[in-house]
Amino acid sequence: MSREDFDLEALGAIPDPVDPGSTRQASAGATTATGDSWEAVAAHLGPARTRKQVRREHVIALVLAALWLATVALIAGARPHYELVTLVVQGGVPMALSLVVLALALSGGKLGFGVRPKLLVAALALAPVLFGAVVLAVQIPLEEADLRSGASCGFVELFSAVVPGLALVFAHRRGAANGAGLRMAVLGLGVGMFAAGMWAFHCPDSGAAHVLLSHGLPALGIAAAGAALAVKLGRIR
Amino acid sequence: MRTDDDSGADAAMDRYADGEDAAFRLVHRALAERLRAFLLRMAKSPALAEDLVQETFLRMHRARGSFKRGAKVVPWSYAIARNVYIDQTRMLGPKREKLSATDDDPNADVDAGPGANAEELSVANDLARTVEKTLATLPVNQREAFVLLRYEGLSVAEAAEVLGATEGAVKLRAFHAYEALRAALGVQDRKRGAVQAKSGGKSE
Repeated sequence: MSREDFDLEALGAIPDPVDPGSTRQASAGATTATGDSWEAVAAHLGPARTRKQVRREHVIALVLAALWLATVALIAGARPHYELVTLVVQGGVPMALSLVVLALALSGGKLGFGVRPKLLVAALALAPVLFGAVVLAVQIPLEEADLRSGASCGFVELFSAVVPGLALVFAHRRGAANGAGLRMAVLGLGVGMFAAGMWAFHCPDSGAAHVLLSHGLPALGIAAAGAALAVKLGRIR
Repeated sequence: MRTDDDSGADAAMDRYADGEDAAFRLVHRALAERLRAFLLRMAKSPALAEDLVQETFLRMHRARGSFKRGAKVVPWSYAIARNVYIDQTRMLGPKREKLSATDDDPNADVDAGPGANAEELSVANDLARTVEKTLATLPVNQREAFVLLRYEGLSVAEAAEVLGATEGAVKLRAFHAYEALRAALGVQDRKRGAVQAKSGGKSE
């Protein structure tokens, strides 16, 4: 039988080592008393968040993230000279993309496992590429170019993403049955891209290279940090 | 393959996630046997499987708030059980194989069903042992895909969610496991045939 001809019905031909000739009954054949097992589990049940508490934490994290970003934006202030196209391309596009990416990362999915890994991988790959393509396609005259400003933009963006990122990771801690790393990476990318878009309203340097390297690249760094955090924080344990 | 039990477990888990503590006992009653069988097939050692079942329920308890309303608790619990098994495997490292290879295997003598004679029982035992041994030699990703589809009755879509893989990947893993198991059973069939032919020749 080749891979192409393979029919799952054929699996039934393989006997069950626990209970030959059965599937569901198999589970009953190899067990000890369920009552004893329950007592052992019940003795160790500590406090656990209910769905309502988890939802409240999610809302608090989102509000905290929004407040933090708004505060950073207010303190930094808006750039003195700008054109609408600059704001749309370098601010609006990444912010819109980040909302899509965040929605994918935070979605429960059909069976409660979040959206399919394929979609998350697509978001992780396509969102930065789309952002880069739009920035490169719509060239905006360079207003100011300075290496030091490039470094400070990256630093401020990381700084502005730390609180929203940590708040969201904390609120979604130990909530993923699988794919936690991928989901947290997408979450980090979403937060990073939002911060990148927001910073474009302040940063007077509209050069494509500056926007991609100093605004776009940190978003990828935040995504990587999210994936790294997920190992300890994201997965159910 | 959904059953009334599954729907009951889903509803109980929903209530438990909402804070109704008493509902967890219903969830436990509905899932403990299945999870134990799954973990026994993965870990081989009944004592280890029992510990892993308890850890699975503790994690389900801690994560109850993240259980999505209307989701299915069976795939969710299998995904958690799988993580528990993987964590345990990583923690034990090389010791695991020794632990798995202990002789306290409850399947040493399987029940071939009512009315089975000694020869049928012996054949069933041999098949069971061969399947078990071959499963133990498979890569974990093939073993878990096969076990979920063949023995735990999950659909390909559900198994894919549990394993965090695409449906195509799950089918492919199950296919590889199936091929390995078929080959092992084929070898055993040929050996048995040869023995029978030899003993038949002697008796003549």
